[in-house]
Amino acid sequence: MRIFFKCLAPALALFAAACSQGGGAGDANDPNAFHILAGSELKDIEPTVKDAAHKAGINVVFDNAGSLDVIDRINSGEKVDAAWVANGAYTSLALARKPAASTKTMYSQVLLGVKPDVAHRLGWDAHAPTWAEIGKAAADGRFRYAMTNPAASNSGLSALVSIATSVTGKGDGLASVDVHAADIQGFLKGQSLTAGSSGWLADAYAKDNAALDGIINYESVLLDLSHRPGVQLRIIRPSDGAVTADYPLLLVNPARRTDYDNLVAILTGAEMQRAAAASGRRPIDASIPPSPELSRDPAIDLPFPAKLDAVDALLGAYLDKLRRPVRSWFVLDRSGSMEGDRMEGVKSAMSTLIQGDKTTLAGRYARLAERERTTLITFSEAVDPPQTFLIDAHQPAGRAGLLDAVSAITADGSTNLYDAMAEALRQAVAEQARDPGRVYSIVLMTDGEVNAGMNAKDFERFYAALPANKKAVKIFPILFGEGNVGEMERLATLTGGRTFDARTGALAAVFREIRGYQ
Amino acid sequence: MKIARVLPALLLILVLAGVGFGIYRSHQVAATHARLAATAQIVGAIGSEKGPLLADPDVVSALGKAGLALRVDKVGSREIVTSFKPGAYAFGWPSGAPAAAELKARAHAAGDVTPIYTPMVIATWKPIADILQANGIVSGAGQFRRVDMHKLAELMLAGKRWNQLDHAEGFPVGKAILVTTTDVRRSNSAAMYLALLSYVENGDQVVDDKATANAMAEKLAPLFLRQGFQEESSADPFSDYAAMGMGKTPLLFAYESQVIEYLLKPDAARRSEMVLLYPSPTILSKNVFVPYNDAARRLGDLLANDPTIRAAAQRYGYRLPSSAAIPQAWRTAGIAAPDTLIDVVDPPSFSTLETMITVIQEKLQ
Repeated sequence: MRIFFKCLAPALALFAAACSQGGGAGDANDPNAFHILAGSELKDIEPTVKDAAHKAGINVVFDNAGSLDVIDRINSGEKVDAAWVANGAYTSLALARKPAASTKTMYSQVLLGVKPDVAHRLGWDAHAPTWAEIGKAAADGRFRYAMTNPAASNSGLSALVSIATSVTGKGDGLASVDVHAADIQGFLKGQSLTAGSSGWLADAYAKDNAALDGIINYESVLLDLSHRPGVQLRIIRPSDGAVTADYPLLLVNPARRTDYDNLVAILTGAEMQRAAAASGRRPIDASIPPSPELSRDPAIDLPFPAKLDAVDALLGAYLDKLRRPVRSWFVLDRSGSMEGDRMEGVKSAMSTLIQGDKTTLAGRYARLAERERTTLITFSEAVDPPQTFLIDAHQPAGRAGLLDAVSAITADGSTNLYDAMAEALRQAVAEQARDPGRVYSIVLMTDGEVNAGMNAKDFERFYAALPANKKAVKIFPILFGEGNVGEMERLATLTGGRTFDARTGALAAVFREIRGYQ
Repeated sequence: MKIARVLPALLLILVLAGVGFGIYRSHQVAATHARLAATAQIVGAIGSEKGPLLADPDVVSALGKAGLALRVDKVGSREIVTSFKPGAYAFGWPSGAPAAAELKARAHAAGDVTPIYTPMVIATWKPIADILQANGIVSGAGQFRRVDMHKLAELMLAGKRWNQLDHAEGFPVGKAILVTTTDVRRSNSAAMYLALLSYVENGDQVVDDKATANAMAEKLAPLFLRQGFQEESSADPFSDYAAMGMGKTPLLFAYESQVIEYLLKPDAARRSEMVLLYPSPTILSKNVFVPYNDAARRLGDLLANDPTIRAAAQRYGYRLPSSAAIPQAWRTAGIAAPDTLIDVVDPPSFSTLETMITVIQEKLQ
């Protein structure tokens, strides 16, 4: 009998393997697949890695997420074999359990792309500025740039660490006591376009950069962007250096050590290193030259902080004190079809934003921050009276009031979406003209077809008649339920915003992601 | 209903397949056992930087001929000691003498041997070495020079930046003058840096009491904290040094072996720009092999005496205690490293180092 049981287990395993469909390369259900949770900034090079790994008999399956989400998901115990991230230092500091192995694979610094005429006007084409000088130009309104949200994306975080490190005037790694608020705040005055992802930011810049002087992003992304039609960028390397992404592959599941070692050999091998160079990143193998378009001068590196508390202090200050404060409208559908689970989902996701989720990094930083002003507009057949709240630690009634207003929403009636959006836009455009220092956005959440009030054509006519500063108000529709995808996409494009898909994923995660764009 | 009818048949198939597989497996196992009878598998814990040497095909085959098969776990030198459990491994091979001495005591081991060693160096770049030389901190010429650790420590502790030095035109950068190290909590090379600087700052005395250890750690902690993030393994900062050049790593505390191994590669990029500074005084990383059983003692003997393994070790940049001069192969490759090192400092005891590391560890948390 003992032999029987001993033998049954491997037989079952064989049987299961034989029965699983496919099992070949590229199949996520392959029990031998090597699962890598990768930063979204690595998407461009993933197909090349998959091919190279496939030739070596390793079926690599990639799943992409933002830098903070990668850390949160591993900390929550998600079963992945490895992680591949842009910033090894931050990941190492924030992971609850240190990875079994870590190997750097390539480099890219977070630098400035500046329009050639602007670079000339500021004198940056002749002498590279320090971050402190860049900050001064931004504070004086002479340099308006696109940069991702540092609490959501590594390129923004790297730039924030760079400016914070530069203005200490010490040349050391940043410590929590060294956060010089006024200088950083001046720099952030110039942040005129934000996003939760470096790739989306680059696309948005390529589409419309009329109101911008430049963009902060990875050197590799800037190089790619400078090749796009209609975009002219000069890559500026600040003279005091920049934080460098080093793209380590981290072994999370020690049982996959052999595959990990083989993958490291592939990633650091000549073929993949040439692919890294072709992607605009700098190879880790010094014998393979980087793109000839990149500067050959030494890339001065600014250190990442030694301790997580310095990063926490910096991000906390960014959100609550230093960044341009958020002005947002949440336009929520409370028509009859939202009744039940859908409405409960929306309420729960909103409550998490209002109160914060301390269990994850991303949840902690997504919390509504100090100085934010938020208006709640609900609608069914009519538009309910807007309710506005200010988030202020000294006046807790603001946060509490918003929470109460959200929990009091009831679902009933038809869907008068465009009248509600028009109301939000009217308010936003008027306020933006009075107070251009804030960052304006409208989040729209609906689950059905419009069947009351203005239709899409009426709304487009209304939008066309708004004053020119409407460009400063982004619309972020959430795709949900039976909502009209085409109309939602149209609303997003009209305003340079984007849609977020909650039809398959969790609503809470989508709300959190949107925060990176506000 | 359908499932109920199919199930017994399915189970029968499974059982037959299982029995068949079991028979197949037991044949395989028997074959493997026959091979293992001739080869003793030894499992050990090593400092990570020796991994490539032990995985070298020449070394594996030399060990195989002697009937030994090796499997190693890469563990930090400090952790090899602090996580020592009798029976877990057949040997420990840390990278520093203090760790080895403590390990020997904890394991009640006999027959330790030092097959290889390497001096600690500061890897840098020609423009940087020239600036330091113009400021009277570096002496000598060419690719292999000397650095006065007293003067360098003074500059670093004063918080000086590169652009504040005279003749800094070659590196007019606002970065603080600091030597890049690994994370002292986990890595031997950073511990060697702490050992060396504590000697220098203690009036050229090896620190050997707790009060002095605490005072030295307090004084030297900023040289670690101010660096910003520090990597755990010595391979990472060396990658940064070689690939990103002086902008990322103007000064790197490294094993001489890392740099020599790199310079011995025929396609080593930027080799002519690299400069090795030999600290004065200096400190050696002695790779003391500590065996816990007879098979491991046999392995230690081979590591120290087998000609193939000795030649391989030199290819990986290590020096052999029994050789008075650097290997001919290094010379042929144009490596004019010093044959002998003078003014070599002893590291403090393991417990004194622990005291110092603990002080810094608390500040890094």
